[in-house]
Amino acid sequence: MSSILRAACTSLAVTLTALSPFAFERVALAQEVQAVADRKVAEVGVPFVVQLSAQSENGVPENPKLTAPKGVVAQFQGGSPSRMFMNINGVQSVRNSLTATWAIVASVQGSFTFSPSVTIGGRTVASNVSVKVVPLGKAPQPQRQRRDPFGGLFGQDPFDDDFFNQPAFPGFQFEMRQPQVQTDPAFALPAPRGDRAFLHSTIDRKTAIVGEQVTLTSYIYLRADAGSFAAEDVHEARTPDFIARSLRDDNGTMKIVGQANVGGELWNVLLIRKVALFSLKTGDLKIDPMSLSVRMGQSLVVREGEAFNVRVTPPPENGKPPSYAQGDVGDWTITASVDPREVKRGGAVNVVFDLEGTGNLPASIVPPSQEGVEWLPPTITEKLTHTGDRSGGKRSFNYVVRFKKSGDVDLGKLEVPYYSPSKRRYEVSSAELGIIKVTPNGDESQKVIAADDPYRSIPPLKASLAGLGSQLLIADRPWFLYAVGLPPIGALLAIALTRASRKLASARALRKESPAMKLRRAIAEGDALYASTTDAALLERSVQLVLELAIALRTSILLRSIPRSEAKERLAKAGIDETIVARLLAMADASDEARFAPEAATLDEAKRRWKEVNDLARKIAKGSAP
Amino acid sequence: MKRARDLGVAVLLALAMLFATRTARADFAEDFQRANAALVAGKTGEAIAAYESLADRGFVDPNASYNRGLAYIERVRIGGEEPGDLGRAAHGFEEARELGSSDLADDSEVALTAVRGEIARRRARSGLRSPVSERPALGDAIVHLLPVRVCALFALISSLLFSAALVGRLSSRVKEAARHRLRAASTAVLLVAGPLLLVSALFSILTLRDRREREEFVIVAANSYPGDARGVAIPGLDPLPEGGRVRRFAVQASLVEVEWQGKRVWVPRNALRPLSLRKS
Repeated sequence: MSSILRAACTSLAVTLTALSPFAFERVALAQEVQAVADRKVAEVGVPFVVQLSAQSENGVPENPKLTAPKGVVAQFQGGSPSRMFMNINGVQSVRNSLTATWAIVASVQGSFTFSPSVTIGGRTVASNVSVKVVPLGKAPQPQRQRRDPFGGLFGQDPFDDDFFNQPAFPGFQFEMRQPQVQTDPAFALPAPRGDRAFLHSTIDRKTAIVGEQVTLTSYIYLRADAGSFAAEDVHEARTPDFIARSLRDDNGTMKIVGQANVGGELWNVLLIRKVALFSLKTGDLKIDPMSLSVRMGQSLVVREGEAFNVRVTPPPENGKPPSYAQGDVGDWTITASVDPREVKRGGAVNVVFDLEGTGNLPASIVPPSQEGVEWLPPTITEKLTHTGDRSGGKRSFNYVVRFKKSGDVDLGKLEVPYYSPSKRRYEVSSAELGIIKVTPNGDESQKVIAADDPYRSIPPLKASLAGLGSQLLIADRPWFLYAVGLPPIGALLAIALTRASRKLASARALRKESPAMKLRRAIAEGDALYASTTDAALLERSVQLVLELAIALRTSILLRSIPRSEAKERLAKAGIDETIVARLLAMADASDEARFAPEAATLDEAKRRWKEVNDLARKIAKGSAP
Repeated sequence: MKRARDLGVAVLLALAMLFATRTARADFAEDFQRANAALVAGKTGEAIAAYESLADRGFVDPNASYNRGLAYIERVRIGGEEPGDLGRAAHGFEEARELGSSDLADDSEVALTAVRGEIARRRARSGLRSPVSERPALGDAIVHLLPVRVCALFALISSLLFSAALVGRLSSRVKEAARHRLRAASTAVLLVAGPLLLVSALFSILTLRDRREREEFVIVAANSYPGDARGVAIPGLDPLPEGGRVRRFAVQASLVEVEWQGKRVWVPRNALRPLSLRKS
């Protein structure tokens, strides 16, 4: 209906201008510049659109501008210039037009007049449009009205549904939608990270296992009264240790996702990036900050998001399947198709494996290889998408499989184990490939090991287990060191002990014959006689023996071997006091006499002498006697 | 009564453990035979998965290691080669050589020569001239100069001879005429057995210590560039050869410090596979 009406209006306009060039001239002048808004009443925080349409035959409309009043953010959406050549009754003319649009978000209520302007031939021409801004939820539903029946002539209709997805900057788009806007506590921050505009990034987890998705989200926060802005010179967050996949179908567009209370002020929050990151290795992996320049009016400021460290650990060992490849984390299924099912020997079939699901889909798989079946390198196709915030999609591995021997060949089963983060356990997705009937082709040399096979010298497989226990080396046994060390140590010890005992015995024998020992023995025997004997001569012999031994011990002079006349002098020379010498000699003489004249000896006399000599001998032996 | 009950529980536990151990061994043997059957049938993928499953469960057996290496070679041979297959094959053969009997060690040596020869050819085609096998360091070469068994046997025999000679030389309970002959013979034995005992015992101790402390790896990645402690590749060094055997010196996060071409370098942990070495 709308296209019919538009066509009718266009035809009418062409007819009117053909009939009256003057009338067209007047229409053209009257409609040179016109500003419109998509609604007369807007709500706080809800975006609406202001559009300026300019046309001229005298110059090219250019340089569209809109100065946003305080409390309003205006985002330039782009301009659509066009040129139309006309021939009316032989008169040729050129008409230039420009349609410029702005997305507007007001953070305060009130009546606002917007004056978008363009420059035509050096002259600035503006047009006014007024919009009343009321609190959220108080405005009537906007009427979708076709104010411009010649919309096709002046560029895109701003009230089309697709209008809000139009590109704003090279490599950067600003997407608007009609959301139910409300201040979201999830976006709240204690303080702004920059004046009027800043970049804020978040990650959904700080620890992950290798291959598990970490979602990095970046927002631009724009203060509600900041006015229009443009983002330039975007530097993406560097993530060298991760594979990054966008979680937005419209990557590169900015999208208002809500309003936030930042330090008590109202800020608009624009989603700029949402990326799924899959770690490639373990460790503390860095995510460098994203940065961009924000142009607001004449000022250009650089804004930087946050940097992150993600601790990436290996997957758990418990229950890990043997063929699990590190990094295979997600939830997926695998299907296989084989076609055809019957081939001649030397022929090939097509095997396609489709892995579909979420997570870090494996980049390669290991097909069930077997002798006589050659799997050629696969062709890999993929369609990576996302389900909500989970990255995933489908990856297909297309193999050509060639058969080198005939018969029924069971291709076996492909198993791809993965770690399911949702179930926190390992799962195995598998696909049975079934049996291929390979018919002979005439040349039936089934197994030929090529002469240049570099592995032909390798001995065949071992049929049974060998075990380890019986193969420990002697040197590994705990007793080995003792067995080596103990015999020589034992031999040396035995020899040392034998020698020591011999020395001890010899020393003991020597000590037994020493003068001191002899003196001690003689004194002990004399003491025994003194206590028990009645034989005076026997006691006198002990007296004489002790006397001689004591002198010999002290002076090394054997009294018996020197004449009595020299004895006095020699003993004195040996250092014994003369009176003592005299006493000793007198005692010796008396003892001699008593021994050899027993009739004169009395026991009492002998005992007295024994006591005297005993006392003297002890003193001499100790060296206390002079 | 209580003691009898405790004793009963202990016996039951011991029996349960014995049963569990026997069951586990039976499982391993069964899996080994299944893997062998798959390999004989030419299903290398299945065979590899089964052998790897044994290894992952901590089961170490020289024949299982050998067959695992063979399964990887078979996969290469039938054209289903995956990156790292030759390195993993070399790992299996190295482990078999290390743990197995002398016959198996000989077989493994033959297999290793074939695998490393092929790796060397491939590297040469890529313009890489560095060898796949490193010559051992001087210290290692000296320590491993004699086979461990020979060294240990020498140590034991020389210890006994040395001890007997000591006793003989210093014994005095022999008649004078025989004593001189005994002393001369003992001195001669001492002169031979003494140094032999010293050297062989020293070598045995060094070898034993080395074997207890040593951790070695086989490189299982085709292009693993040696780097510094930050993981930054060192210019001028060839990538470490797949199938090469290296000794570990330190570990740091996901990097392992190894010695290569006389230099201490760092390589990613996942490019290496640890060898099960014989330890007492």
